[in-house]
Amino acid sequence: MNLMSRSEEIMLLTILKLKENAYGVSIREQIKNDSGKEWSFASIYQPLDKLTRKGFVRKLKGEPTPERGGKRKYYYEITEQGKSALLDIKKASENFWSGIPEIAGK
Amino acid sequence: MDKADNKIPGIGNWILKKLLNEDEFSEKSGDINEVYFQLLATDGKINAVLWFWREVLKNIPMIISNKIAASIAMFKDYLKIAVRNITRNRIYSLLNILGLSTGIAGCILILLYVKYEFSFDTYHENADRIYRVIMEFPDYYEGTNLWAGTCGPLAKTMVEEYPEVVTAGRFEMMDEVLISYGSKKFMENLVMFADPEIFEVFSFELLEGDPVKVLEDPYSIIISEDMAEKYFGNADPLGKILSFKMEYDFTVKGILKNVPENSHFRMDFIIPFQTHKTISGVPFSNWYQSGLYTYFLLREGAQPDELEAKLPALLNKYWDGRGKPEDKFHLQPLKKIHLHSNVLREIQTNNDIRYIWLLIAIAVLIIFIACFNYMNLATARSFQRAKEIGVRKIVGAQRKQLVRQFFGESYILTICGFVFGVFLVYLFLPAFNGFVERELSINPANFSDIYLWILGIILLVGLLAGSYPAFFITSFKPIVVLRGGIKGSAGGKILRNVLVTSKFAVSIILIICTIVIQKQISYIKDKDIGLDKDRIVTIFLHDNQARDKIDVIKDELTQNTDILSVASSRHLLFKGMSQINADWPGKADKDDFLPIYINQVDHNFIEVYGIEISSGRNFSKDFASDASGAFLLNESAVKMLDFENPVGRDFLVSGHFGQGEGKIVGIMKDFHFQPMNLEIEPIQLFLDEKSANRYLSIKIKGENVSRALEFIESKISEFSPDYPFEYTFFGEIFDRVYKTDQKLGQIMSVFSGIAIFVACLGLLGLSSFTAEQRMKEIGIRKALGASFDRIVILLSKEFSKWIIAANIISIPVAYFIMNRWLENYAYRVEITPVLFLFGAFAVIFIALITVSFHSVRAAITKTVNSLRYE
Repeated sequence: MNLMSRSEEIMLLTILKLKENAYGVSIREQIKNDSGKEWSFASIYQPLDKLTRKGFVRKLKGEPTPERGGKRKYYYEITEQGKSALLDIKKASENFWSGIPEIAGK
Repeated sequence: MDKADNKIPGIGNWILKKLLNEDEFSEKSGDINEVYFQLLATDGKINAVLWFWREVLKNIPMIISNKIAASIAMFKDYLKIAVRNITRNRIYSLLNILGLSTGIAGCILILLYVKYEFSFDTYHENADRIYRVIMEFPDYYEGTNLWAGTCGPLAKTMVEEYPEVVTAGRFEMMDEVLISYGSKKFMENLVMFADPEIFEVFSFELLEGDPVKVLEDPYSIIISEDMAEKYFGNADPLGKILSFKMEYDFTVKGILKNVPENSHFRMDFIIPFQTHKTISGVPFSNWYQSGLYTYFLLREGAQPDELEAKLPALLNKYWDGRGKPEDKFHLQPLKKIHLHSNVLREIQTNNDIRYIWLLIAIAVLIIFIACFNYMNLATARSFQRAKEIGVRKIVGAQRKQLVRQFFGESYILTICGFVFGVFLVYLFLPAFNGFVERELSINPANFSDIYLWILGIILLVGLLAGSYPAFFITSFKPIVVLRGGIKGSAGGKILRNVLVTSKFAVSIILIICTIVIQKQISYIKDKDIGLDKDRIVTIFLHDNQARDKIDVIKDELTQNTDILSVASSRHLLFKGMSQINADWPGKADKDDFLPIYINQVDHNFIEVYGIEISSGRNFSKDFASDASGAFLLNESAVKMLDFENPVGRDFLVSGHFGQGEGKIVGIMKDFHFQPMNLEIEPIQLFLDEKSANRYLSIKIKGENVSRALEFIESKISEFSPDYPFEYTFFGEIFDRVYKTDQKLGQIMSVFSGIAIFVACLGLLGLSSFTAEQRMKEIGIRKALGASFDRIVILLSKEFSKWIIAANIISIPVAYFIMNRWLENYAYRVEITPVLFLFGAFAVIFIALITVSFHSVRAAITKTVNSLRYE
């Protein structure tokens, strides 16, 4: 199985969470909320790019706004492929975490 | 907040805009803009700006690596498409690559040769300051004679008199010297007698021996590495004794590093000059005899012209009154000798700069033709692909992409052509080396600039050829293209016509020039030189004992049935005769220098060489007075001396070359005894059996040559057992003089052939394009009943226009070039109109064949198929 990188996984999860409102700024906000860390845009665009190339997400054009100096937004949406890749990871994670009660707490 | 604060700093915006494409820019700068806007409110401007710049900087590496990855991906894509396109049009691509690579290969070979020729003698450390002194004697017909020989005292005197002359040395070369060591006996040709100053002027390297001391001992000898191996194998040569002509013993005192091939003189042995005086008996102390080579080193910063201007004063001071005041010295820079010097008495036959220019011109022509071809084919081809391009544009391909694609294809083809061309060079280099008698190598280290030049040209061609289809075709609206509206705009047509016409013109010029040069060469070869040159075996007698018995040898040889007659002489024609001052009793001014060649001969000489007597008679045993001395002069001599009734006059031989007197008994019809680009000079044959004992000229029947040679060998060995038997056919001696001319003529033909071949390839491709373009037209004509030959005529009509235009241009040019070249020959062929017609017809013929080929194909194609061609 091909495991994606941590950042890619985080991206996908965040995108899912944000539903229709997943774009650069909101993704960054969400990650900040969930992890406590402020990521730079560079480190967000990088995995987003990869995911797009792998076909796990697709980009959609949005509306320009004045806050953006009149430039468009680009939204991200997870694809079916992306969803199943995510589930793969989840499964793998569970397998990895199983059988180690000391940490997993189960 | 006012609008200005909404925007991120302008510079940053600009940077991002430059680095990103439209969508990316929108997204990323938009996102950053949004957060910046927020930060302005929460953290204040300074922090916002700081954050902004941090973000931009962090983004930059990623952006750059993305761009690189994208470029690589794009490049791979183009490569794939380009390769696919190339293989789809295999024939066209092949023709193109073949033409280009042949042109490149030819060009590279020529340039390698030319570069090598220019490199002669440059290895000497002070090459820029080394000069040779030559002399100029007024000629009595026109102009002057240049003579590479100088007199004995010149070198030393120059050093004494002129501070600009740092050091000077003289030397003389001897050939046909028997050198032996024990049982190893060889006839050596590169024996030099030299002043030790030679090592100061030149940079000849001594592997063993101190250049200052090595020639101190008069009987010391320096040998080259090759000679060391030849005579001594692996043993140490130093101290060993070599025998010179079986008369003198020399001790090996030094070993010379082999003189590089690219030198205008080379030697295998060096003997001190002072010993030359002893052996030859000539003191070399007067200013009159001029047979030595003098080279000197000029002081840094000194001007050779100034020195040359001072030299006549030298003559006035030292010349013992003999010779003329008009005689001059000239200085030749070392590096110019090999290509520019063709004076009398050169050490070795030099090359001629005119041929080098010619070859360079051919190289340039070849490359031009190859490039023209390429561009022609590419442009022609691009019309065919107009449809493809139209479709692609409709499907959304950007113009930029198409442009890049065409360039990509163009470059791939040209680079393939280049690589294959280099491969061809590698393949043909050994043959070429044998042909030009040089050892050229394609080691890039030596000739990197040639490769760079050609690579540069190729890339330029790729650019030019690719740009036409790339920019021009892709600019058309798709709908126009699809409807077949692009048959070729006016501009395109003109360009194409110009290219094709110039190609034809160049080919015609080359054909004509090659023909003329070949004619000249065979003219010279076959021209009646006024002598018999066939079936004459010449032998040099080294042995003094043999020379004394020469009469006996001649008798015994003549008795053999294979031998017709035998003559003896002091010198051979075409080989090393000397000029002396013509003299006769009652000559008004004894110092009036009238140069005339002299050869001492026997009674049979005229007969063996078939020389015609135009008035008077030959030497004859019937006339007893002949035995005490008789002369035969040639017509040129009589003209120079301005004798009205030469036959019966008394004549003299005086000076260093002998003494003699007698009557002029006859006048010889002028015959050539020197290279035929010179006028025939005066010569006298002096009947002197005693002195005429060095060369035998044996006329054989020619039926059984090997048998005759065997007999001759046995006889000669009988009388001259110590020397290896060596002979030369007189015809060979004659041919050797013209070898350079011949070789260069051959080179010209080969490379002209290449140029023409490349031109034909281009023609083939072009006619295929034309034929295809007019398929529909041909189909319709056929349907309407046109016959096959009408179609051929139709297709050919277009070509004939080009060919006629090409002829109009090329004929005058070719005539002009050839005329100039032939001016250098005193005896030359006529340039007749027939030649030009031939050249024109050759090209027409070739063009017709290629056109017919396609016409046939087009005509045979079923009408239906060609009409369907849409």
